Amino acid sequence: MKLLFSILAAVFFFSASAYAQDVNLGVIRAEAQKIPVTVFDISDEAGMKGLKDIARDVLNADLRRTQLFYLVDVEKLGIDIKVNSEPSKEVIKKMGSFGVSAAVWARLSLKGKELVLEGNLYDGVSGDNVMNKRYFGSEQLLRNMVHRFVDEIMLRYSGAKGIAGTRIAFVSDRSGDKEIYLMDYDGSNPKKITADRAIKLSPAWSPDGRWLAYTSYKDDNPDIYVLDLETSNRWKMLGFEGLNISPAWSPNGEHLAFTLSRDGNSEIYIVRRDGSDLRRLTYDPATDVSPSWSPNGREIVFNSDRGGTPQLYIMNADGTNARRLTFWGDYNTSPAWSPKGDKVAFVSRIDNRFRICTINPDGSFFMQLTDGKASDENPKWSPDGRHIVFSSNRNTRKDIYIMNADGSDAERLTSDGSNNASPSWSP
Amino acid sequence: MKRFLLVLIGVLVVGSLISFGCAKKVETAKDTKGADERVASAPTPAPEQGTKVDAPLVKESGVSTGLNDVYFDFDKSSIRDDAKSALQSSAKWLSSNPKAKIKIEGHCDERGTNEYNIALGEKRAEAAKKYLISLGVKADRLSTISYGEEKPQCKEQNEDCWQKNRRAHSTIVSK
Repeated sequence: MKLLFSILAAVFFFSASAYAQDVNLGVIRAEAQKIPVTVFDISDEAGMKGLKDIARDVLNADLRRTQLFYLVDVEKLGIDIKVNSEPSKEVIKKMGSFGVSAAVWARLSLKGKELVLEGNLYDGVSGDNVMNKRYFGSEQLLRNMVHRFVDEIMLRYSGAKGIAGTRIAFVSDRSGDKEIYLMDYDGSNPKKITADRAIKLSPAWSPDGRWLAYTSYKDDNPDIYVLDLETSNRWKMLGFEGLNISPAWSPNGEHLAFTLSRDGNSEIYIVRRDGSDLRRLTYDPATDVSPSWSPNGREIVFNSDRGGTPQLYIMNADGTNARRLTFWGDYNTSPAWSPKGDKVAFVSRIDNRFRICTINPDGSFFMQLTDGKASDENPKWSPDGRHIVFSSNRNTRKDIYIMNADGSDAERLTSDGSNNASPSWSP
Repeated sequence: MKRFLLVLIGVLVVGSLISFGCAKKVETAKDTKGADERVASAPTPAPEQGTKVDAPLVKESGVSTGLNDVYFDFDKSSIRDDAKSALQSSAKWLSSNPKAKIKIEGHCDERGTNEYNIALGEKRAEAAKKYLISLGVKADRLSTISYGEEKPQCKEQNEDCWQKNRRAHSTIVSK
């Protein structure tokens, strides 16, 4: 009896202490319960017009998009958040006593000609400063500095890399031609990165973020090009007769999967990154397009109309064991395997509209995420799997939107009056 | 035994309180506290020089040439009856212009997935080509390209317009 008790106590003690050493504590349950956080007013010692407002807006928006934090308005509790210097321990502990877990305070200053963003994180229970980081850069990089700060907070709480510093590639006709652009994950800083004045499609990031593969009609045929984002070098990787479309990098970046029609109809192939070892994976008289790899690289989900209507299929990465994934409806296309591997996002035609849906890779839990009068297309996952980017014509023209992975909080990222489509989220 | 259970429950309650307390606390990692970081913009390649793609050899053809557009149903690439007569007159034009080569473009309406539509457009162009071959046109006079939904003829969002875009369109490559 006594022995049994000792063993139980020992087991409990060790498991509890192992748990306590885990830095990522408290966030495991965040899906259900968000962490209450207060953001103090930003102290502005730089005195440059508008910067403080930008910093505050970006900070609040970034924290909200993490889906981890719940921003608490402590002014209702009689606590003044308008501070000119570091908030006192007492104020933070007072907030803590109301259940606010953490506080954030940032200060803008100048060092020479450079802007400095000092970001601080406080623990609501002890009132201690638990993170103090200074970010240096030009005034134009203020948004990036705030993104870095929030990603640092996110890393602290979740142990996972945040997405505030990520970017989205997309195709826009704003210049009159369908060119590829990059923008920040919140829609700011759009920049054109192609100018061949031909139709462009399907930008796809390599897992290390260095290469962007895409389809261009530059030489009067849909060919696949690769752009090195660091050197700006670009080259035609695949230029077979017929279609060279829908590129998708394998999770380790070693292979590219895509569609060719050189053998008479659309089939899925893979090739090594250096262009060697071209291999055909599908052998079917139907249309096989839009491959997307499972995160462990063992399987590929793709789109085929071999059963009479376009549906999703999963095959092993060597082309064997193809089996149908979707059975509901007569139009399921554009698959995107989630980075955690638990879901496949895709487009389904429901009541003559196109909707973003998800399904588990075993065929269970078909879920419709979007609704309304318009059509939504081209879903792609954020690298943390918490968001989906897609294009929609809900405001007449096609624009890029992001939403939470459960379909909530849709946010419009482009609104320049042109057509913006084919989004792809950077790693 | 009863006492043991009470103690066990007590331990569990206290334990869960401890772990709950920990859960709220933010760990301090000394290595990052006070760290400075220079922020640089992410690499963004300059767009390649805006050299215009060479004007294609292809010339637009009107109805007067006898090359007619061929129309399709949504998500279909089968040749409809009205398309057969259009292709028959195209074949007639090709036999009276024996040196002419044509390129058949496959197009789709804006609905559905871009990548799938590129493949569908190719099937439409190939279906038109196959039908012309069955009417006696030599295969080496016919080439195809698919534009999917990327080059719509009509840009409104209604069925009239969508029908105009679900087509195979022929252009003369050489005469």
